[in-house]
Amino acid sequence: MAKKERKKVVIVREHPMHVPVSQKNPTGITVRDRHPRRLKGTYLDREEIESVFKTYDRKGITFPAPKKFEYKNSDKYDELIAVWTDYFNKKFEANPPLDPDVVKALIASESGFREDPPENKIAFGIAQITPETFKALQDPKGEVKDFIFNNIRKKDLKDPNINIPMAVRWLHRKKRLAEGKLGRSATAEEIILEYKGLLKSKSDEKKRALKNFKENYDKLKNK
Amino acid sequence: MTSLKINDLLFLSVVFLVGCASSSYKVDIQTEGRTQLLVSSDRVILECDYLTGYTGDIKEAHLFLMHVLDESKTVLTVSQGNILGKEDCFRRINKIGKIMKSGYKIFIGGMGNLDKPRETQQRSYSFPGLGQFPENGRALQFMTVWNDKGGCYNAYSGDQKPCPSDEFPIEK
Repeated sequence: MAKKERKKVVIVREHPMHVPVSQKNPTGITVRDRHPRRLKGTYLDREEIESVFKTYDRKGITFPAPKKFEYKNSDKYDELIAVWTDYFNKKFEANPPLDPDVVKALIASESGFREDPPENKIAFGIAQITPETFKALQDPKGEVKDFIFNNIRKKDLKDPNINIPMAVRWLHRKKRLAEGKLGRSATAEEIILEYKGLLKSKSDEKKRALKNFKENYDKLKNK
Repeated sequence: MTSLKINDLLFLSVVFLVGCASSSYKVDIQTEGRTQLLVSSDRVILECDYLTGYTGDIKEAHLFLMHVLDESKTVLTVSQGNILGKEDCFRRINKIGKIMKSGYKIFIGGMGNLDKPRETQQRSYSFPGLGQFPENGRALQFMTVWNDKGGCYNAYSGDQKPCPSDEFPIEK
């Protein structure tokens, strides 16, 4: 039997809404037009991100390997990585699940665990999310429309509490794309190559671009 | 062994030796996860490598690399972990180039270590005045470069002070 697709958006009818009293609205009430609203569980906003992280059941979740790196803050974000990797693995019923060590090795190579590296002007935060990715992650009609982020501001990307779940969600998208292109499960390296836009590149540079991630990942895996 | 042609090195920048008495390379200090090199500038080539076949959303994506000639006449690579735009990459070459030219002692800090056995690769690099040498497969993740005159550049925070900071210099 075909899987029943859950409704993600409902249309809210025209309704009165309280607003600050002004010359335009002396009664403090206006009429809000008919509009779409995403249902809970199909998006994350700042409050929801905070609430999920605070209340998430940590029993049995997999943490990335600790004490493997000598970056200043290398283990500081392990809990964030563990919770959000587990959250999205369950949300997307990922099989095989995304490995939290992939996320940690990616962050090591992207920012060296700096929350707001200022020297790269075209990507933001600890996982170096680009403006295009940021836009795609919040686009209700875009490529990740089945689960998006809502009302996240660009300046929020400096906060690892926001940046890490967005990066993990994007990694899941890239994992799925890589699997589609390869016709099989993608390895850690292939997921990252897709994340870096180099999976199908035939150039020699892709090996070089992957080198730091691979060294970091192997270290986490004791290879 | 195939050598890189001029065309292949479209964006290659060579930092020439200025004021150095002799060519030198030394692993200044190494821990399990960090390496600090002390080199003369003639042993360093800076490169912004254009990524062909890149499908991501960075315009004119480049990889920033530093090629360092070691004591065994092979070349190790110190590279930036994240992909950069053309402008960001060439700004690095410009700023690091100045640090190389103005200092006598050049320190390069990278994450990782150089314990892996050398494996000679096909790719080779030409160091002016020293010759052409092959890559050895060893790699570090670029973190910081600084000199004895106070010049410093960090892969993530540029020339913001304090620099070097955090992981480097490694305490002896």
